[in-house]
Parts: sequence; structure tokens; C-alpha cells
Amino acid sequence: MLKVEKVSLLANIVDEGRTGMQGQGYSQSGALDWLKFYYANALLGQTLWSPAIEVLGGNFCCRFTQACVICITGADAKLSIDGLSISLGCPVLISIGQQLSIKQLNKGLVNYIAVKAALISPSFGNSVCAVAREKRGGIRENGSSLQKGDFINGTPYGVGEINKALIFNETDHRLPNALRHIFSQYYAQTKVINISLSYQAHFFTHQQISQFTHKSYQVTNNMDRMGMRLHGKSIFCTKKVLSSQGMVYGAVQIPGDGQPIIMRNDRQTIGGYPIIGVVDRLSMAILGQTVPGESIEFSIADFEESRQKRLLVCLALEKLLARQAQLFTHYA
Amino acid sequence: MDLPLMNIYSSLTPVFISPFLSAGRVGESSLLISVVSPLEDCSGVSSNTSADKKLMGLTLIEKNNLLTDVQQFIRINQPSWLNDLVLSYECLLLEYNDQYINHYQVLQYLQSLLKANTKAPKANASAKKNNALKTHVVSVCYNSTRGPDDRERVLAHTGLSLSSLIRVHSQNPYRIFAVGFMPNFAYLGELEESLHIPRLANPRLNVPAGAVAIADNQTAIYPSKSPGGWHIIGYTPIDLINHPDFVFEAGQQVKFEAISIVEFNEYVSPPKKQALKNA
Repeated sequence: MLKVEKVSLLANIVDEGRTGMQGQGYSQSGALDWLKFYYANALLGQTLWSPAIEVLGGNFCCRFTQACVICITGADAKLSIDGLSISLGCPVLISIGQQLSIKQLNKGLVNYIAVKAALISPSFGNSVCAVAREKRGGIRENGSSLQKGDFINGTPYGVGEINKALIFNETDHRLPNALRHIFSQYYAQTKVINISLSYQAHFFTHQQISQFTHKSYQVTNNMDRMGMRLHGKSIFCTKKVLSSQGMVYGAVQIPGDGQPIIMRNDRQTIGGYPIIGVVDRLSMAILGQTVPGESIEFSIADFEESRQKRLLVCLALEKLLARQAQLFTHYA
Repeated sequence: MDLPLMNIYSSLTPVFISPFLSAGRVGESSLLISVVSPLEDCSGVSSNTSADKKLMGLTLIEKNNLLTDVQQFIRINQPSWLNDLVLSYECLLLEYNDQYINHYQVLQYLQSLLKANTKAPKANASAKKNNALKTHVVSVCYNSTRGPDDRERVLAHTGLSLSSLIRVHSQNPYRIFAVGFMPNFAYLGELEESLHIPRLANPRLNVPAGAVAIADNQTAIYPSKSPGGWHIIGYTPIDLINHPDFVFEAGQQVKFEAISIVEFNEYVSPPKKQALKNA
């Protein structure tokens, strides 16, 4: 299906992540910017969580050994097929032997390459994801990421031609409102990150919580797929001793030094630091494209409000998927 | 958006799902089930002094038992929306697919499930027996020279002889209170007081796979190489990452069995399982 020719930083085959494995200490994992990942698959009219390639930072090149349709979403990047420029978020017809090149620019960190095909890769916990720390998952089943020379198998869905109606960019008026609205929040000057208070929030004084939401925090260099360490006003928990508890995606831990850590996809399953609250999943997708040095501001939200917003966005994605699926003309 | 204070904190008010258990919303699609003790708050956080423990009424093992039961009930019932269950010490994290179900419905489900299970204890006792929680028997060589160890330091600190150390460490099965930090790393307790020793002041950068270690009132086995601050007292020849029978889960038990160096060297690993492939 495709052969990896260049990876300058990190590339992995990803999907939604594992289910049912956290009880044994395995991370959930999954796409860092799940929204752009779903979006790429929706544009191709295929199941939102179909495995795709996640490119984190820098440059990436691969060559396709079969004709297929692909779509790339995510960070601002210079995309080209055999030297010819293509756009983000546009389904593109690829011929045998053509090379895709991605050169990330200054906005965002993660790109998704969705292929209109059934990509074949070993499964662990119902997922193709690789977690390096665990030495589990991925194409070699040992947690290693994609490297030059790696070959990913797959069966493309035959497509005859690309209907012009399939193509549009993120600000297009034909995109559902819910999607256009959330996409516009991706590159704000200071990103507003919604957090709902939970876990040990009642062990923080009102003053501490007020300070937590009053000033912005900076994303430090200490960030990876496991967590994102922030720098800013230290806040302190009145409860010092805590037995380990299961950590939810987006949980914000407050360690001894008072500097918050946002737990991400490859986080450890249990942790012993107090947790002040949980960042909502839409904000976690936006954080997926956030780089060190950027500022974020916490805003208190309600869990149900966050859930409803997310369900609306997912509904919009499903509608887009249905529309795109109809417009592809297939060869038998 | 400015929400009234009550809404902001509403997720912090847990709901009773049974006389001793409460569940609070900790994520958009996650609930944290905790044991409620008379003189304790509802978050599952507790102090560790023995005086406080007595006032709280339930010991750590009793709390862990309650949660293990809940985990079993849910598993046997197999709700379609269940994604993950993470049991750790005094709380059980439940993650679910919230596309077609909301947290109120999950709470109602938990309430009915627990009510049904307390109403018919005999019926459930046999169900529980059939799905009895496993006791893993782990061979340990306490004389092993497979890698670094802290035996001398432990013997000096505790005043025990090596044979006493072996006897005390391996005589009783331990409860798995939590599995985490790394895959298949089980936190085992509670270690007898005569073996208590604080963690290493300077953690090791590399603890070899298979190391059996102790710290404070806990013991554990490192399934793979990692940094660690616990005192190594022996090694197991079992490959805990790949052996199909040694999959640890909170609520199960582990019993250590002393073996000799000869038995350690003669141990043969079972062949690796074939990996699953996506069709």
C-alpha cells in the first residue's frame, strides 16, 4: 500500500486507541488530535476511526505502491505529490508509484494521512496504536514508531475519479457550522482550554481555583504523547497524601511544585498526584496542535455542556461522512 | 462563560449507588466509584495513620474487596457501553461510551445492579465462585544473582535472617491493590510490619525485568526493565510481559513461592502467543 521514505521526527499508525486494557496498566493511546483524525476519514467517506498515519512535527515522505485516494488534515504544511502542490483537507487521487511529501510549517504539530483503504496492521487491545514506553503495539508490535523503509499493507477501495464537489477547505460555508466553529478555535492567540472540576477539586481553595483560571499558562518543552507540563502560577492542594487513582484522558495533575500537567493519550493508567479537574475532549484535540511556548488559559466548564458540544461535532462529522461517501464514484 | 458556582461544583457531589459506595463524575464519560466511610469525605482520598484508619471503620482491604465485587458484578453483567474499568486501592474508574447513554443512566444502572446483587447473595456467591478471582503463584529465587539486589540492606534494616525474610515474604498471599505505572506492574499488599523499609533515597536508573522488590507496606514485581526505588530481594524467572497466564488485575491475589537457583536456571518459558492481525 505505502512505503515510508522519510520521517524527521515521529510518525505512527493510529486509530482511536485501545479499549479494555487500562485495568492491566496499558495506556489508551490514540490520535493526538482526534478531531482532525476523524475529519480526514469523514472527508473520504469512511468510518471516522479508520486507521491513519499520524505525523508529528517536521517532514514526512512516503510512496504509494497502489492507486488510491488520500486526504491530509491537521497542521499547516506544504503538501506535494511528486512535487505538485496539493491542499489540506482535499481528497486526492494517487497513482501507483507517486510520492507524498509533507513539510510542516509554523502552525500546529500533527498531520493525519487518511487513505481510502483498509489498512492492515497488527492489533493490540483492538487498536493499531504503538506506545513506545510499553514496547507494545504498532506495525512491529513492539511499540516502535514508523521508520524509513517500513511498509504498510492495505487494500484500497477502487475510486474512478474525484468529484469536484468533494473538495473544500476548513472555512468553506458548505461545512457544517459546528465544524467550522471548532476549527476556528484551533489557532487563537491564547487558546481557551475548557476544564471541568472533579477528582480532588474540593481540596483546592476557591482562591487557588480562581488563580488557576485567572492567568494563562505556558506550554513548556516537557511535552510528549504522555503529558504536557505547563508553566505558570503554582497552585497547591490541601490534601498531601493520596492513594493512586485511575486517570482520565485530559486529567490535570498538580504535583508538589504546583505546576500543572495535562495527561494525554499515552499517560500512565494510575497516578498518585492530586487532580484538580479534567480538560474536555474538544479542548484536548486543540491541545494536540499546541507547541511549546504557546499560552493557554483555563476556563471552567460543565461536563454535560462539554459532552453535548462534542456530540454535536461528532454528528456533524457523521453527516459530512455520509455526504462524501455518496459523491465518490467507484470502480468495481 | 460564567456558570453559577453550584453548577461548577455539581460534578463534585457524588451520588450514592449503594449504602457504602458513591460514584462521582470525573470525566465527560467517566465515573469514579469510591467507598464511603463514616468519617471520611466522598472522594476516596484517605489518610494513612492507623488512628485515622480505625476511625474510618473500613480497612484498605475491606474497601478494596467492596470495589472488587462491584468490578465483578459489572463484568458478569457485560453492559454494551462499557469501555474500561481501572481498579486502584480505594476507587474504581469506569469509562463508558456516551454516544447513546448519559451518566444518569449509568448511575441508575449501577444502583440497580448493586441492589440486585445484595438482594440475592446466595445466587451470586456461586456466580462469584465460578468467576473466582485468581491467585497467581509466582516463583521467586531469593538467592538469585541475576542482577543487583538490596538483600543485605534489607536484612540489616529489619534485623531478620535471610531464611526469615523468605518465610515472611512468601508465607501469605498478597492482594493486588492496583495495576499501573507500567503494564502488568501490580502493587501488592499488605506487607508484614517486620519487613517494612522506606524506599531507596536514590532510585535505581535500571531495575532488571523480573525483580521482586519491597517498599513500605507493599511489594511488587517489575515486569520489565525500568527505573525504580524499591528494594530488590529476589528475581522471578517468569516473563510477566508475555506469559499468557500471568495477567495481573486489581482484586486478584499473588502468592510467592521460593525456588532454588537451580530451579531458576532450569525454568523454561512457554512459547510466545501468535499476534493478532487485523483482517
